Amino acid sequence: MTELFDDPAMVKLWNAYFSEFDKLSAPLGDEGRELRSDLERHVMESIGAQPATGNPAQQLKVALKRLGRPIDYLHPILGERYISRATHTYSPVAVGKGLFHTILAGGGRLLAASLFCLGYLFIAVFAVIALSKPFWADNVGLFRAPDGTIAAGIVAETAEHQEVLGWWSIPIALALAMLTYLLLTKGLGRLIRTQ
Amino acid sequence: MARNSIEAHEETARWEVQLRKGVLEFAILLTLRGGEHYGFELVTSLTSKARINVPEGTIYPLLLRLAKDGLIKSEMRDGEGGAPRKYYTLTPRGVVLLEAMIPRWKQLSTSVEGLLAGEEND
Repeated sequence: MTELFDDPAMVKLWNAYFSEFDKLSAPLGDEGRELRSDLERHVMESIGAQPATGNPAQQLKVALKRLGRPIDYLHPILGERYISRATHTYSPVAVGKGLFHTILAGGGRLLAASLFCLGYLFIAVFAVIALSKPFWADNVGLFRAPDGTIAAGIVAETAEHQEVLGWWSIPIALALAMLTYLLLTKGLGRLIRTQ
Repeated sequence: MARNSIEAHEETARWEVQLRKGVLEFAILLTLRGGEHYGFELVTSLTSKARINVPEGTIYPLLLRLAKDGLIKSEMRDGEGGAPRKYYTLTPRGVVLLEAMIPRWKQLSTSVEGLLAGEEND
């Protein structure tokens, strides 16, 4: 669309804005291209609606400023796209990006997305238990105290405790991490169905 | 004191942006109830008549989602100056949803007004 502009300053402004948009909207595919066409038409209409000042580059600048930074209005749609991908592929990268964009988009999904982040932190806890067992075998696992209470995870004082699982705590912690990840990621789909 | 005032102002501004974004979908459907609009006209209508001052780019991803959900539909046609424009209209499903949303909004608005009136009377 820059062929419509004679002024190099306008071409520069336009290209800078839409190259940033293209970079951010790449994961959206066809939807991103449709969105770009909508925005291009909007900017042209916005320039036309401004009073003639004799400075078209300034008019374009105003139109782009009114449109807002691409990252600000793309957060919600990128969050939806990545979460939708995550629920199908179970990719941790898609999960991370989906939650990142959803949280930054704010709105009604902010609280739910934050709770999902907390849920994923549990997976890290299980992973730490599994990975630290070989190094601190006597202090990591599931322990029963003399009074019958149960302690799980990394326990400082285990001298009088009886270890319940032994080396089984590694596969069990890993299985729990995997199960939590699968359930949370499956549940993420509900997040994009709620506003 | 001045710092507290600036922080309160920034917090209020953030809250206001989230609030406006939250009602945007409803405002778009309400605007389209009055007839078809093309993108720029719809945005102008929302920012001037409804005074919903959000970045104009915010509207287009929402329009895409509303179309994907089958609540609105779009059609490309030549505009007055000959340049193609995308015209948006409500679908029958969008009309049904909007009719269900209006009483809910009124109920919510009345409840908040009641709370505000109570606060003023205290």
